[in-house]
Amino acid sequence: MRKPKTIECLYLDFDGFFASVMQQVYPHLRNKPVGVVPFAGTDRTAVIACSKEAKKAGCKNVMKIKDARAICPSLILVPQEPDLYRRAHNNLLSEISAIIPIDAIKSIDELTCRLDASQRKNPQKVAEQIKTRLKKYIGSYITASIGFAPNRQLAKIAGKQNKPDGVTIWQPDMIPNVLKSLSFDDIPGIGKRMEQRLHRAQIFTMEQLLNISPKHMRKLWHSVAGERLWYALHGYDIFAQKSERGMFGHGRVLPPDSRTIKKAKEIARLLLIKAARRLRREGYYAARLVLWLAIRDGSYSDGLKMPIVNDDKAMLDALDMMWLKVEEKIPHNMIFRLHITLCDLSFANARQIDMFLDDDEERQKWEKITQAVDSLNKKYSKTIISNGEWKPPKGGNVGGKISFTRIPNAQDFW
Amino acid sequence: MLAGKSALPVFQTPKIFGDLGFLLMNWKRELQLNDIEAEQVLEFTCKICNSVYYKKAAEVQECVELRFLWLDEIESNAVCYQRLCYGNIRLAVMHENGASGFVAGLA
Repeated sequence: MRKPKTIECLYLDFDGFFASVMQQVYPHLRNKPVGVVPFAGTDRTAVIACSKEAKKAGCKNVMKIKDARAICPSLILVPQEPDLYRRAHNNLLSEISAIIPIDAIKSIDELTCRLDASQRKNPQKVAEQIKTRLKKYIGSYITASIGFAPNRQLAKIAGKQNKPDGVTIWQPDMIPNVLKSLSFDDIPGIGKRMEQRLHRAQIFTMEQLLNISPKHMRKLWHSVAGERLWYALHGYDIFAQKSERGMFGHGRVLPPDSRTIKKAKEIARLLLIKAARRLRREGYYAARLVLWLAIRDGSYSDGLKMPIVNDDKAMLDALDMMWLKVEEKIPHNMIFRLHITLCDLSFANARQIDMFLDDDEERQKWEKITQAVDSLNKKYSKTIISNGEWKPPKGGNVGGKISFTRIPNAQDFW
Repeated sequence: MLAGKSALPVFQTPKIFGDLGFLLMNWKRELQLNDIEAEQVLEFTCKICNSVYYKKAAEVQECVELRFLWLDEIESNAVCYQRLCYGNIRLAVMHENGASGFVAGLA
């Protein structure tokens, strides 16, 4: 494995991204402690992102609203606007691309770039160019912390050392000594459970961890991930490979008035249609539908094999069949959260046709109908036709959830 | 098809000064349509009715008269085609192909 002799990677992480975007867009929120919440009207949820001012006051991301308010009584709570964050993300990336090509987008607020020969000589200048450009063309309330190091993992860790709005440069000769003073919390890939496992192996500090061999780390991790992390922490050129898509799914915490079996089904239908639309947009078919419910006594899950399909009708029929079982097995239960997943994917051009159904006419007919519905919705930029009722739940943003690997598209909000 | 003033024989003068008189300079002023990779997706959002249209750069590049326009010119020349709207358009380039998640914490 290659060990770079110079800085090769830049890792950029926007500071308190959601809250900063809100402050940039809404002037009345500027220089005030702001907490972004999933939806308005309840304090029984969590603050999903805090502004720099709120963080200074002691608030943290994913903190219960009550706890955050106790720490910072002047905290201003604003409901999330995923479409706004999506647009900001696209604009920010376009501005950064004007200075340096983007190698990989790691999440809505994190990205990484490879430096060319001239940029490696003067990383500070690259950071200044990016920051100046963002300030000039986007605004001064969205700031970013930037880390430079021989590989992505180290650049990410470096970027976290000087937040907010900082720049940290780790030259190869500083590796791994610069990591010795850090705690396990600072290392992506070492979570609470892994930390406990390390403690059981009598490893309590980063220095001790850095002194073990790659194979020992693999053994501790029970997988090759440990060995990969060892190489990353010692400055080798190693990074996460692009993974193939294995599923399309959506989940939602149900609002209090939608927790009955009947009302939850309406939301399940909606989530399934949204997942199916994404599946079709990316040219896939699915052969299995999985339903997961969080209920009062724990959880309930079920899966159903389907012919390899992508039309709404086949999927909604599968959901109907699964829901009959739900009604039978947990008739009076409350449903708090549900997840719908389409898996066993295959590409349209690699689809194994069912031997007995012989790619039946019925399926082809529904596929054509679904295509027509999709194209009409696309033409009018909203859901004007749907298979059955279309009643988005309170809180909106169904299908527009922002995750690490998915930055939603405007179509996800229709 | 995204209706556009671009279909007209005469183009508007590119707008390089904003309403407040400041020079408008951002990535859209530095990139021509031809600079965008053919597979990249352009997002056109109507500022009036919020309708969103997606087009691959290759589709827009097929129009010869647009190829050498700066993206801000494309933006200011395009209008929403929804009936009775014809609102101004906000242009964005989608970056969805570059997303890659973390694998066991590895960036």
